[in-house]
Amino acid sequence: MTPEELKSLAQASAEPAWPDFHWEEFPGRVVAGLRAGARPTTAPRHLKLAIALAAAATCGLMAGFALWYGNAANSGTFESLRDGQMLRAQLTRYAGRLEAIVHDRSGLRTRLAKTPSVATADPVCVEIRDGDERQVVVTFSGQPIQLVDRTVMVLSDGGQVILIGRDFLWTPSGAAGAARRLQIRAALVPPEPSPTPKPTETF
Amino acid sequence: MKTLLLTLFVLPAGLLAAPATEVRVAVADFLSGFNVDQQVGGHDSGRALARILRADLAVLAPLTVVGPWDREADATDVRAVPPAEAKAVGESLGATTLVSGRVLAGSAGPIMAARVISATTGRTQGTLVQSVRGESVADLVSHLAAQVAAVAMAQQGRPPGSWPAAAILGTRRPGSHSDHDEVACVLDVDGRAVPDETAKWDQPQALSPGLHEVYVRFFDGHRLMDHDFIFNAAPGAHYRVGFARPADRKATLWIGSADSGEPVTDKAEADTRVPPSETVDPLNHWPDWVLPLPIPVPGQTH
Repeated sequence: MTPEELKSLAQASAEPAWPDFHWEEFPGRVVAGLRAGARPTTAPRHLKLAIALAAAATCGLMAGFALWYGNAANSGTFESLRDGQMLRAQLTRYAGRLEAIVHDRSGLRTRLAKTPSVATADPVCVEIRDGDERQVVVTFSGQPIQLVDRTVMVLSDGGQVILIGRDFLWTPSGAAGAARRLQIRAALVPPEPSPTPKPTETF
Repeated sequence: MKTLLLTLFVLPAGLLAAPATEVRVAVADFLSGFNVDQQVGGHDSGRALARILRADLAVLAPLTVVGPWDREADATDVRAVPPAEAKAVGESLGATTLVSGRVLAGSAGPIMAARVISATTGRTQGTLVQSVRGESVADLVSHLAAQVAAVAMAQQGRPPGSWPAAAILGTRRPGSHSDHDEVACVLDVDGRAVPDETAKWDQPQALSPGLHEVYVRFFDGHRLMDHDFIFNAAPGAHYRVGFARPADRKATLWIGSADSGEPVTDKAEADTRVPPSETVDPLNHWPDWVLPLPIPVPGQTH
């Protein structure tokens, strides 16, 4: 296209113009902008919505990741404690005194008797979730576990784990009393290293 | 010569061998809450149920029941019992096994959980039973007794025991005072009525090992006379309702061994009052008869 052809085409074309509703709304936007002390914005509404959605999605993803990571970490605690490796190590270290290994929000710790007086048969691993509170306890059948509002006793019948206390009963097949509001899972801990741990009992 | 060698060497060795470990069980009163008392319509349910448990354990040979284990000072029941303490208590009571427990209110009835402690090693295990709809408390405790016994025997290195249900049925003979046959039969067991009882006098009613309340009925075609008995059914035993009807007098009823005929209860004169069994829930049937009465011991009549 030659310059002459381009000039004639441009002169023949209509002048670009705002639609009528633009001029109807324009004075109002100018006045509102002046009153607010800011320049009138011309950013389209759908852009704002897109930005808001993206921010929300990012927050959601971050929260989901945090929850997933937290669960995975705690689940790992239960699984790593129930294999009995740490229990056996602590039993060697505190022969007859080890009552329990407890992992909760304050970390990992052992509960010891003052004198060697603990029956260390039938070790069990219990995870108790009470809202945000969560603890994993490796202990022995016949030992108590301290919950937020009560003490319960752990009992093993050789095949399954029972938690019993005042108005509190949990078994792998059901719960009664205050145990209903908790999420609990329990498993027997093999006294010796086992290549295939028993399946986890959950409720 | 072989016989001589056996006599000289093998027999003395057998006599010197350590006797099989006895299993002697001491049971503490169970703990229970007010909601359990409400559920079963009784008072101090844990104590009452522990009394039934002691009686039920007593018939599960080779167990023997000693004690009871008085645990008033340890009412919370969530304290571990160290092996040394278990051993000391066991020695004081002559027990190899200590049992405590707790009763809770379940959706269908009481839940009983028992803690079984070896007095020799301190090993502590648990077992529990949960009511199912329509089950009597007598059967619930009987099941717990069998489970406790199994744990106790395993803790003492004994092979598992077998304690099958007992059975009871009635008696019929041609009437001596009327044209109608005379029938003595089971009217109900632990509050569970036997429908059409006189016609089904020869239908055995199962009894889980342990304490039961059995209503029996005499019928001669004209009059009904009843009496209730509490007795401790031995595993696998067969019982029969016995009766005597002297002329112009009330019938005398009892429960005896179906094999030997020996009574296992008193011989009691029947009365004509109507038993409440047809309208009573088995679950609410027990405290009235358990608490005020001495626990029958097998082999003794009462």
